[in-house]
Amino acid sequence: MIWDKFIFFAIASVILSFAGAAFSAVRREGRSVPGIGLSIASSLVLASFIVLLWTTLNRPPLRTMGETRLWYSFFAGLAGIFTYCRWRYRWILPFSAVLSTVFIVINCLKPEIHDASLMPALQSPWFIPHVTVYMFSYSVFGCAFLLSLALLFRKSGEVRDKEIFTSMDTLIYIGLAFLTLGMMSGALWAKDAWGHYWNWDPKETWAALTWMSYLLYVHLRIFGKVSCRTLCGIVIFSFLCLQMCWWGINFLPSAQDSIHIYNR
Amino acid sequence: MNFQVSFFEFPLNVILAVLWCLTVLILWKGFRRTALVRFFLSPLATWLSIGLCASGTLVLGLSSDRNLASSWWFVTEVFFLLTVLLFVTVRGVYRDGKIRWRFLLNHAGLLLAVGSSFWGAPDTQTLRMRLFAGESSSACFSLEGKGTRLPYEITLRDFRVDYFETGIPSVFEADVEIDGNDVLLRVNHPFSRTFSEDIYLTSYGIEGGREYCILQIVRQPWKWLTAAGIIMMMIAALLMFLRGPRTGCPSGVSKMDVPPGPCTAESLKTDGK
Repeated sequence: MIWDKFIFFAIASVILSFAGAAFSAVRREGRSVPGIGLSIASSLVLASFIVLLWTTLNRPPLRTMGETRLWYSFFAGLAGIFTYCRWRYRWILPFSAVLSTVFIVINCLKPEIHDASLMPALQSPWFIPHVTVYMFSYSVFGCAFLLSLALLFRKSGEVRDKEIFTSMDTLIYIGLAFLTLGMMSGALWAKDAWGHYWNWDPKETWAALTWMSYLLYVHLRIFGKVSCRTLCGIVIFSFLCLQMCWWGINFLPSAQDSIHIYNR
Repeated sequence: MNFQVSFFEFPLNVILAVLWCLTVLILWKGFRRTALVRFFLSPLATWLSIGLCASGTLVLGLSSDRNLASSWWFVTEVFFLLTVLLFVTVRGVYRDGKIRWRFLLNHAGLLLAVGSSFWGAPDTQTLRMRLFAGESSSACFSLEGKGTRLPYEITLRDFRVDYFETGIPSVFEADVEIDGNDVLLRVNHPFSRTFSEDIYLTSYGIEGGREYCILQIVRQPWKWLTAAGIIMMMIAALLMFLRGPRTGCPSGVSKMDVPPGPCTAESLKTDGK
């Protein structure tokens, strides 16, 4: 089984990402080229496993929880590299390395290897873009969530806090942009597959709640002088909603008749 | 208590939607200094409308009753959100010297997508038809179980289901004749019979040793407006990604409307400490 080989890719990827994170963390100014290079190498290792999985399964590996977690780890690394290259935050590569590693470890412990089948409803050109943009936004929101925790529980320092808030804003804008793309592409796909853009299915309902919650954060930041604890609370609440949407609804009694049952 | 959506069927929904738009425009043009208009344009109204809809959605998410989406309180929350959105969009159009594409695409796109679903809901019809192989019929049922007839016949000539080794269907398609047209129906590939009507292959089964297909007929005349709103929002999302967080006052908002200092280091110093 291809998943048996995942542990080797996982170890290589984790070592490379933490090495890259260490280089970026110690660099005081500018970008750390070795940090970026090692992080890219880490992402390439995961990418090569994804390609291997894809070719072995003869379908896009985007269906099971284990597969979406794999993409999450991959995109968490990419989101970290992108943010570091664009805004040069020293802490972002360590953050994304931790985030990516958490999901890699979960996949090593519980890969949930499923069969190679892709049911007719998922055989659509929308499938790959819809799921990948979602996974990318989830990864970016994961970074924002860690930042909100850091803001809540660390000793405050004005300049550092301001820097963290600016970073959190950036991440939430990027995450919200991709979440919107995911939701809207999902709506267009739903019209083709089931006849309606929106059905208030439990998965869709939690996706809408997540979207609105992040939207509230954006509007509070644009307009008002709102308590930082409130803002961090909204980011944490939004991330919890996102977890409900991603996998939590599988355990929700009210969601047992959801039509989005293929990733259980 | 659920909202009686069917009461607002065309043309009543169009009349009400036009009156709603005109009212907002008139209020904006002639009464923008009144407390009512100032409230709808205030940050408080924006937060309240998003917060109320989010709360309602949370209730929906925790409940197993799908009908709550058409309950009077949820419909009211969505209507409030749309009204705030319309006011804000109108202000964005009228007060800017130049067009702010991201703002307009975001707000007008959401307004169009949600607004067309909201006002178009009374005209949306979902019908289901069960057809055995070789059979023709025009009889179908609404989701509430009410029987009706289509103005044309559908014939199921043949259908095929292939399976993976695991028993999960891999291919599921039907050869049908719809109103004289030979059509191959598959999941994700509906047949557009008219501008507003699409026919879907949704399910299959066996009864008394005979195989049957379930076809779904969806009439949704407002669907193109919804699609336009969705595409506008997708373009806006790309712009949001490319341009990053906004700085300064939002489009069309006067300085007076904006409380000073968002959550920067200054406010960190004073709040919650």
